[in-house]
Amino acid sequence: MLEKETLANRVKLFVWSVSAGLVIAFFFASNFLAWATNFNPGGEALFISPLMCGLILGIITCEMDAVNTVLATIIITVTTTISVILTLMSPFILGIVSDPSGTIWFIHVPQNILITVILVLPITLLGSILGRLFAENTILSSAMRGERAVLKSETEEWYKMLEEKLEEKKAALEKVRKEQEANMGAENSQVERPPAQ
Amino acid sequence: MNKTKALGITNLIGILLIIVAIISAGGLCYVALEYTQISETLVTVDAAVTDIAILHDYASGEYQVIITIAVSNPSRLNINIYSIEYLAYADRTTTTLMGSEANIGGGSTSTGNGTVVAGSVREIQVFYLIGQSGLYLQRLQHALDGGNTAWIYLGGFLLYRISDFQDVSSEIGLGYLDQVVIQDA
Repeated sequence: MLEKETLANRVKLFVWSVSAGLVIAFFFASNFLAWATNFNPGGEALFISPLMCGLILGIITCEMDAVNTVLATIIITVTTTISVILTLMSPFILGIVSDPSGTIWFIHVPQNILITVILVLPITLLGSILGRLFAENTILSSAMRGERAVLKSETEEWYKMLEEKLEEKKAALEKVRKEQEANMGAENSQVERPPAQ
Repeated sequence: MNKTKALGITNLIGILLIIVAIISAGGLCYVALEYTQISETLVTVDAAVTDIAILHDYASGEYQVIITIAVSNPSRLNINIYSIEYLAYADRTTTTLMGSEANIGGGSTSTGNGTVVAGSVREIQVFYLIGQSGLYLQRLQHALDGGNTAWIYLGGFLLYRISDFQDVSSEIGLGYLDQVVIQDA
């Protein structure tokens, strides 16, 4: 069973990732449908929005393991892709257009979905790595960094001790084995000795 | 305490991110709604030539071709008719009607044709003249063959724009084939 804190962290991670995905999806969808809306963020938004959201996510997940950041990046990509698909296919989903394949406005939908996946994953990952680096050097306090260093040295010490213990145990086992072999050799020599005349 | 402070900052940034995401979700819905409305307009707007009348002015010898086009806009957005272009053909029978030798001219009207309000049908009349002399008059008279009836075919298209989204335009093909009785002007 998961600990309460771990579960809370996972929920937070999920909510933050979905939020970042929605923000990116808005910029992507607005850009793809710039001809149909009064808001056009420009092509640069396709690069800036995932980078910035990744950066923010990297900052807010700096206390968690690095694997969580990668997981968050994947959740962002999935959320963005689903949101962009839903927006681009909204006339079809709402039943306004019955056959999207035969409608000229749906021609670029597959390309736009591909662009979303291709751009969002690497740029968000890059942003999150930069965000983590930034957060570890700025947001995390010196005391916390010291704490981490102490924890690291303690862990190393523990590993050393464990290795020493293992060596000792190995040596003791070797000794016992040798003694057993010597005893067995002595017993054998008594058995094979010819009877005295 | 420092750890608590760091956690506080990250949580604060997280909450701000959630707020921005809620606004973005609203924006996303708005974009989807506008896109749906535009798609609805582009799919549902229709136009058709409902009638062609040819009036003969005996005094001047001219023929006036009057084309009535009905534009229906059942969508929720107003449209502006931007341009109507057409070519007319006349002949005695339908077999040779669409050949270039049956062409009796055409026309093009651009801008100023007005708005078709959302949820309404509007009839537009466009006309052109076939002058006293010239090839088109000869062809029409050949089609009439001394009588007052001819087969008329009209082909063309109507270009319109959505009033609120001037970059969004679409065209509808026009077609009409019927026997027309020449009337006196």
